[in-house]
Amino acid sequence: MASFSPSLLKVGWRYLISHPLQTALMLLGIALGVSVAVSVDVANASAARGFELSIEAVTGRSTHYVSGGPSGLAEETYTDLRRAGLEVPMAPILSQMISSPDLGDIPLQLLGIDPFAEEPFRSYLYTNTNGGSMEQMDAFFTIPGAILISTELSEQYGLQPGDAIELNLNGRLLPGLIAGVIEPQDDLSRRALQTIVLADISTVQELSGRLGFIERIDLILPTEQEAGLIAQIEDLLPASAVVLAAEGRNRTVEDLTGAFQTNLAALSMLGLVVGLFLIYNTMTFSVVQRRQSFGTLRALGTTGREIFILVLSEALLVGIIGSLLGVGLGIIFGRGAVELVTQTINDVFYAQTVRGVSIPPSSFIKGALLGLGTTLVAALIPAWEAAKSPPRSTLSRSQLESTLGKLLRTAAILGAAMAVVSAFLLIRIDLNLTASFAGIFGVVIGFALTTPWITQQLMPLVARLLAPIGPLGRMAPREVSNSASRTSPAMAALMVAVAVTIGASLMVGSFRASVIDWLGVILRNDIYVSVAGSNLAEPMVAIAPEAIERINAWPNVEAVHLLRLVQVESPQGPITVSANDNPNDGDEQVFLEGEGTSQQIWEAVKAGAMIISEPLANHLGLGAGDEIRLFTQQGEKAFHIAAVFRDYSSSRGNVTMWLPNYQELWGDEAVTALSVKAAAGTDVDAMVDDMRAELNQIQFLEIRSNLALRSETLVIFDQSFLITNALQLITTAVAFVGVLSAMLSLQLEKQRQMGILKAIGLSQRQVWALTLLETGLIGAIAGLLALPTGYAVAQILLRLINRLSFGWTLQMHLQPEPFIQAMAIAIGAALLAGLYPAYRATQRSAADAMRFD
Amino acid sequence: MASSFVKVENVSKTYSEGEQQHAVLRNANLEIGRGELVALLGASGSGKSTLLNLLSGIDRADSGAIWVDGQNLIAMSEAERTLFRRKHIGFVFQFFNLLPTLTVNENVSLPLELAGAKLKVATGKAAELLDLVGLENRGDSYSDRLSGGEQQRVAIARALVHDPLLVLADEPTGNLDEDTGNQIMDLLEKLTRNAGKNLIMATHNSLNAQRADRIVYLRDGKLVEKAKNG
Amino acid sequence: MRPAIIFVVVILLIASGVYALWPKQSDPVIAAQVLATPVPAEGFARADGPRPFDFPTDFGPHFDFQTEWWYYTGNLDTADGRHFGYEFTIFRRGILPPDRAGERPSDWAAQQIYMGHLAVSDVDGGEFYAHQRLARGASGLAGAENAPYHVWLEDWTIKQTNVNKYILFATNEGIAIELTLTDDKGPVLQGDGGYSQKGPDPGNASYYYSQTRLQTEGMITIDGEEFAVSGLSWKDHEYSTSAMATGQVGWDWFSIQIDDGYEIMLYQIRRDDGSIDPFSSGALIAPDGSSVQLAAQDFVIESGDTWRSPHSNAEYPMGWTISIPSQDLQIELTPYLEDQELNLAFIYWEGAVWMSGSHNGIGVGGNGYVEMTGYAQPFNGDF
Repeated sequence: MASFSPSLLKVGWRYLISHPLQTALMLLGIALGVSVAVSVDVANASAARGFELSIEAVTGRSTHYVSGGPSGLAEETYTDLRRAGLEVPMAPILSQMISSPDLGDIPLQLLGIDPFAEEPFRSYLYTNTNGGSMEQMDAFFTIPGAILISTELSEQYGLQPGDAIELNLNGRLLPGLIAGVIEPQDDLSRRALQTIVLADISTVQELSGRLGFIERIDLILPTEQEAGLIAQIEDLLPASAVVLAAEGRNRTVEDLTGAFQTNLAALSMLGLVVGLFLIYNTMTFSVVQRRQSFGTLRALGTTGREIFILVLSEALLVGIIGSLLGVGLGIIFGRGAVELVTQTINDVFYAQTVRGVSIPPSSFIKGALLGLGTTLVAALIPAWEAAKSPPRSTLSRSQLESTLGKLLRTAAILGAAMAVVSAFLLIRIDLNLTASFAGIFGVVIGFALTTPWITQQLMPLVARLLAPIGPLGRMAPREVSNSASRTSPAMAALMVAVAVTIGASLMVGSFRASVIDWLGVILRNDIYVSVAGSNLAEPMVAIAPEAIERINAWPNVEAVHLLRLVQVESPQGPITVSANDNPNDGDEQVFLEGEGTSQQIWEAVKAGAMIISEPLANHLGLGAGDEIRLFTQQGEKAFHIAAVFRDYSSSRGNVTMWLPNYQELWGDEAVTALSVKAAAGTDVDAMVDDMRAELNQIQFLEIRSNLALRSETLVIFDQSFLITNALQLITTAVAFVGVLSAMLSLQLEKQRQMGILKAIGLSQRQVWALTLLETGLIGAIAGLLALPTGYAVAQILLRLINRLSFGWTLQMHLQPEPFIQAMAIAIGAALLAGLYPAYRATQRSAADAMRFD
Repeated sequence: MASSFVKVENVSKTYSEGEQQHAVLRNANLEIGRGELVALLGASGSGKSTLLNLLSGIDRADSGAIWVDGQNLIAMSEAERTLFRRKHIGFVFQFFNLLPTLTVNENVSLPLELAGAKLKVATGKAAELLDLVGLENRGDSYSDRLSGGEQQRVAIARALVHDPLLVLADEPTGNLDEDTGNQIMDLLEKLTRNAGKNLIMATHNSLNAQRADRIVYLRDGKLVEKAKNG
Repeated sequence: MRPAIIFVVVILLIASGVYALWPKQSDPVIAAQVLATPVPAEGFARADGPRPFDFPTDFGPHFDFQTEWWYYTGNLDTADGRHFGYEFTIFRRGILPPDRAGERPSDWAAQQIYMGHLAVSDVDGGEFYAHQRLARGASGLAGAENAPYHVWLEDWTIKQTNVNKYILFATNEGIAIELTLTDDKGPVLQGDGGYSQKGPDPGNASYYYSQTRLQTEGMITIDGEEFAVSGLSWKDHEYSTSAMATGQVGWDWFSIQIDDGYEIMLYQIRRDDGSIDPFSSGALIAPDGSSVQLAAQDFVIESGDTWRSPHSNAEYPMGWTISIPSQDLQIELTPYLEDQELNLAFIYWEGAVWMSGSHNGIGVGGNGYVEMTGYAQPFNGDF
């Protein structure tokens, strides 16, 4: 092949430079698209890394652990195992969530360890060289309340070894002492130790009052001897203890957060898809506009292939710069996104102890390649078009548009087929989460492909509708229809963005409505009490018995119902058990399936059966009439499932049982939450205030009225969708840039026409009107087509994605707001995008515009 | 003043192209009486189109005064000039400049509609004009399906549809073959001269120029009267 | 060159540049530095003068003192002459003085820390194995008792089973000893009736007795392979509170079992100026259990070769000539293996040696153990 002429490249560069606004918008579009993908990737990677570190920090390198259930293991169990000569690395653990007013009141995990057993598991205390001398450990062993904190925490809060601090354990303040400072030697341990403080296991026993008990024994079992060793160990254990695989403890959480992160990643890809339309739009426009030039070049002997490369090289240049900008923006967005993502994970899934931003280099490479790839793919068709331009093209506009008309019809047929096939697969076949998202993309992009054709079909109708407002009303629809080659990708992009906004808002709205309905059923009492600082949805910290006694004896208290929320072990991993003694609880549940009436179900529960929440039923594939197996103090036991109930408090799911049964089987008297029914006519708010004042002397308790609990629940609910909103916003921004860029391009092309119109008497005001009418129409059509698309997306999200991701199904609550809002966004964005082009059109004198030719 | 329908007084117009200042008109003066057909001659780039743009109010002079029918265009606002143009000016371009997305009839009726005429009135008037230019059957065609001569006929119809006093034509035959050009010139001359309208036509074509009542040269930014057949 | 290729190259360069410049996460070894003040020795008794010994009670622990160790070494052979050396020691260190016992409610709250060292020298195999364990003396994880004498660290055990019989058991990663020791000679009090002064201050001393000739039978396991062995072991038991004086950097300690029924115990304390501390001393134990105390001036220890540890880079003497003219004793000691360095919580060389020489003019042979401390790091350690 002949060498590529540098002056040919100049044709490309000069075009980009001489259309700075178009080029800038194209860059912005790519950059935004890439930045969304990068930021979500960064946020996901940070969350995943944080999760890994939380696990690594707490689990270390253990493969298995000995669990004694909610009441823990008798400490002798560890000694027995140690003295049995098993030659298996084992480490006792007793951990406790704490906070400290001297350490910023953030939740910290107080990890009680035996430093002599730790080395194979968690390496904080050890260097690979010969570590500190024994004497330095003395204070750690001997001083009551002695803890170790990281140098970072010590610097942040100005604490030195020897300083006394106050520790808040389960709502009680206890004295502690900084016995030493751990110098983390790399970034990972630094982050791991941001929210973990260490103490000797004796210290944690004393602080938490769990004398004689440990929480678990971590084990490292070599895979090849695993089965034999487990049998050997279990022989040495009491019936109440069991050896479990460490991964089981993490897997459920990983699955759940994994689903959440897939949701985010899918949403972030939408930004790129919208960006793809935008790039395609701009590149196509630049090619169409230069048909003549390309024809001339061809006439001068340039090969089609060279033109192809010319256009691709332009795209490549824009792609590189846009992607680099996107990566930069992605870091900035990513930092914000990490906050939101970890917040949501904390609120919804588990208390993540490790936070912070991990910026994996792969995110950037991924983002940059994605941006570049998208740009190139989007530029392929325009480049091919350009390469095809015949020498000295004299193709008329109407010819071009009629070829395009066929193309649009083909696209529409293709798109419709795509949407139908995707929808069919979604409905008919059990897809996994990723495939389901691919299905959503299929539906949305399918709808998007039909947009230009439908627009063309609609425009004559619109022209007739708008005829009464004069010639502009007739002209604008025709302009929209005739400039389809320029505007349809932008329109499709806007449609996609708006449809997703509708889908997501409808989904969130329906979800919220479902939660409100559900809260109305389950929250029937007046006052709810749990320990301050414990998770609102899953309070697992024990309330002091004195506090319970006081509440029982409180004047005007009609009834007190106790709740024990706790994780117990099962062959499938840890399962949350919610045990209560509310005799009417059967009536305060929404049963999805069950054996008999709600009273009959609850009677069965009192007799020893369980009811399980919908997410758990979905995760485990269980239903009413099945059995669920749990490890009790008396060994593994099967429980009959009497019903499946609706529950949005935890996507991990839980089983609910009768509290006395639980206490008998697990030998655990702790109570983690309670509800109070006040006598009729009691001033509940005053009662709450009085209780707070008095009970906080015993223990810091969260005492909320029914109303306060509901509103707080909804606040957390809303918080957990912040990241979704942010992503939608960015996607809409990309679409906006697309429409703006398309309108600018169009305006550029129509300068001459505008000049003629002005010459024959179009006033400034009419220039505004015409331009805004055109963009407004584009927005309105995109918005209109987005309504059914968004509805379809919402249905898929509600019925499929939510079940696959979180295990619950939600009912569609159709509200007008998302649709109205979406129309407003579409038209608003389009009008906004028309403002500048219209302004430019008025600023150019007709003479200038016409001289352009 | 009554006899001078158009009066150009000391008009200057400078275009800047980057650092370069390009003076197109330098204190140009011209006076045209009502009903006169004037041919404007001059080399390429001498400023013929500029002068037409200034006369139509599309463009604005840097200094001086342009009187058309007793109104000073330079003193008007952009909006006033648009209104003035709607009423009094018809435009015929070298490249026809029809709107491809509109039908022939719509192209012709548009100026009336923009000026606020009722659709029915406008299309009726447009049909009348199309009849005059011999395109009575092409009203529903799209303009880019027409030949060059036909397109220019449409443009003439459009220029006259609102019954303007002044028709400005910029190389109306520049893009047409000789026969068609002559037909267009015949039409244009007939429809202006016979209706008592003024026609100012920029042209290179000396035969076309001979049809005018007066010939004016634009040279070094000044307007110079040239005797006919001289 | 075609532009498309140029772009690809440019992108790859940018990408690899970004990757190369991006800060790498280092090895995820978490190192810790615990800054805290050590518990002072106040509240513990000092070894400050002779006192009566009472066996078997004194075989057991002495919690009044901060530091204590039970030290077993031995040279053992299989029936077909394969030679093994072993060291099995349990150290105890008090981290709270006895008067503060029982202050804390947790069973895990420790007052004692125990450390065990297990080393086996497989002479024919040319391998030296050393392992360490640490545990708190609480919750039954480690401890020491008397009546009967019993010291344990998890499953590592030293236990008296009869009037003069003891069992040793320790195992780690395929290395194990399971030995029965019989003491036909009885304990020998070192120094001044068991009061072994190590420095000028009366408190710089330890209580020290030995069981110098323990008939040993049992099993040694190397990488899971069991060897029935028999031979002689030596036990030292010392307890003190800050025995070492300032200026002392380490010691060389010798225990030699001569095949004529005599044993020699010698130690020389090295000072930071390179000199030998005058508080170095030793003893010659006769077959009947009687002993002659040796002062620093009674013996001369000369070392010939040296050996540099590839692990710690410390340089150790290797091979010794010892003469005790007053006892007509002239011996040479040769290590069975050069590399018998324990690179554990502290670094020291403790290895099996064989001896040849003459005693009272008669050629004798035998085995022994040599301990060298303070070569890799100053040894004013915790135990």
